Amino acid sequence: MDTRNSHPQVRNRTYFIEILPPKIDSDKLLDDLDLFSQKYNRVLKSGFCACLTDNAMGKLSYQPIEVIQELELNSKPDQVMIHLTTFHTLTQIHEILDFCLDRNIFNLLVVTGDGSPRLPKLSLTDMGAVGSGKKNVTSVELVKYIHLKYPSKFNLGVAFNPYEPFAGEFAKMEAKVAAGASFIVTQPILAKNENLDVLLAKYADMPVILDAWMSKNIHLLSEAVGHLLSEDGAYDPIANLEAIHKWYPQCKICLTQLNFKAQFHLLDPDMTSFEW
Amino acid sequence: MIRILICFAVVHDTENVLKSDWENLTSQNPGIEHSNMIIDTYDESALEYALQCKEMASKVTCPIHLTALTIGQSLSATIYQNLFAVGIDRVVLLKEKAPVSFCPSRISRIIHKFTCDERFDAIFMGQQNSITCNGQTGIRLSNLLNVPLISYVNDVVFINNKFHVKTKKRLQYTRAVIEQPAIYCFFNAERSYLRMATLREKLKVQSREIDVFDVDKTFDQQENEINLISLSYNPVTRNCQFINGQNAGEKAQVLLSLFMKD
Repeated sequence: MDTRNSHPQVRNRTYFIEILPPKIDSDKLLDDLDLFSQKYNRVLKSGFCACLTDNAMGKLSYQPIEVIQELELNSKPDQVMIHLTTFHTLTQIHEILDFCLDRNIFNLLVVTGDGSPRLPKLSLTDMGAVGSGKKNVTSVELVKYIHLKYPSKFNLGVAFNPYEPFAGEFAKMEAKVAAGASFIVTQPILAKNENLDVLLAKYADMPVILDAWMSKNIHLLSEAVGHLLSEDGAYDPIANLEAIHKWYPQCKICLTQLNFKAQFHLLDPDMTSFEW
Repeated sequence: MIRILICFAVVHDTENVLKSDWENLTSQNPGIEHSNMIIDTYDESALEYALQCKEMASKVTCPIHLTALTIGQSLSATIYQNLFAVGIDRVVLLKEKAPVSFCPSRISRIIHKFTCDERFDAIFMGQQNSITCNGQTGIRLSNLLNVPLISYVNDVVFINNKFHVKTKKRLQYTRAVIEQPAIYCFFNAERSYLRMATLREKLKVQSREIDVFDVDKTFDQQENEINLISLSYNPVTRNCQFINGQNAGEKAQVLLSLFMKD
């Protein structure tokens, strides 16, 4: 199945900005919802795309669709991207997909996910993938399933980790593309990366969104990339963002852990303090 | 209406305790002050099973009312709002200034006093507290109330107004149908986690409050109390034995012959 470029709008957004829905155990839920709403509306008003996470890094949070619903937020077409993991019941998956269609949310980033023992997990039976030789449901099965049940409805992205061993990660990427992935989002980029260069050459026709880590929290960044990073030199997120633009000018960028107070205004082309 | 009392303790979430803090355990108390407060693991099972029984009862004509009870200085809104959101009907805090960790005699007498003031058909609780566990509270409460204690509960269903209970014994499971008031102590149950509330459910209960009662001062007395003398840590050690062989098949053969020999 080749759904590449079926939604070329993904190419035209300058920034994808990750926003985390409030955590389940938040002790200031109403404040957190208010903050989420402010961030979401600010991203949409600026013309960027809001990327809403699904229990990011295994931290239990409210679902993007329930936050959008309860806060009665607008969802402009192509300005909202929902992350979708395999840690749901099949019923929940259909609820999420139906809601997305209803609200004109067509861009989904499908990832296997970190999960939690508290969350349900899709089974191979759910996905109709018994006998596929797989032990667990991954993003590959979920991408296939969504295209099967909702043909030509969604623009499905998948994750690429340039820090994983080359052969394994590329074999996975081939399976994801064969399943119907139409764009790629990477883990945080901290330097020019050989694996990423190969990816960009191999999938030159496919939009690749590079992740830029906007927090100074190196601990969390180590967790995100799956490798222990040195804390010797202070990490400068803005300098790193500038560098990514220079290294990979053809790519769109997703900003993770963006500080809305201190950094958002730098993204406005009229107010930027540095060139790109 | 059937009334279930679920007793729960609020404890530190030891999953988040740093490794360095655990390493001090033999010489001093672990530094767990920075960790979140959560409902104790086994009590969480008790709450989830009570909710399941309530759901089963709602399908027939016998409704179940759930009261969740805890003892301590305070209870965070995050915890009690979550309990209301998932379907607990009433949350009670028995306010007690004295520490409530490892004092099964006092805790069981406090719960006993509460249950004498209000009628309950079943009491659900964890078999033991995950931290400084003693496993005594359920037994002592059973003696005070003179009702049966069903320990090591693994699963409970509510059918035809009766609790069908499965308990884990040393080598097998036992099943029983309970028709009279009893105390159920949950341990490594099949459903270990309390369900998660949706955002809508959570927002609905934002203004709900708990019932707070002061614990009678007579319970300050410590007679017949079990005292915690010391807490020690037995580090898990592994004695690795390397199996020689050119490939997995050869190693498996060596392992099999060693196993057969033993």
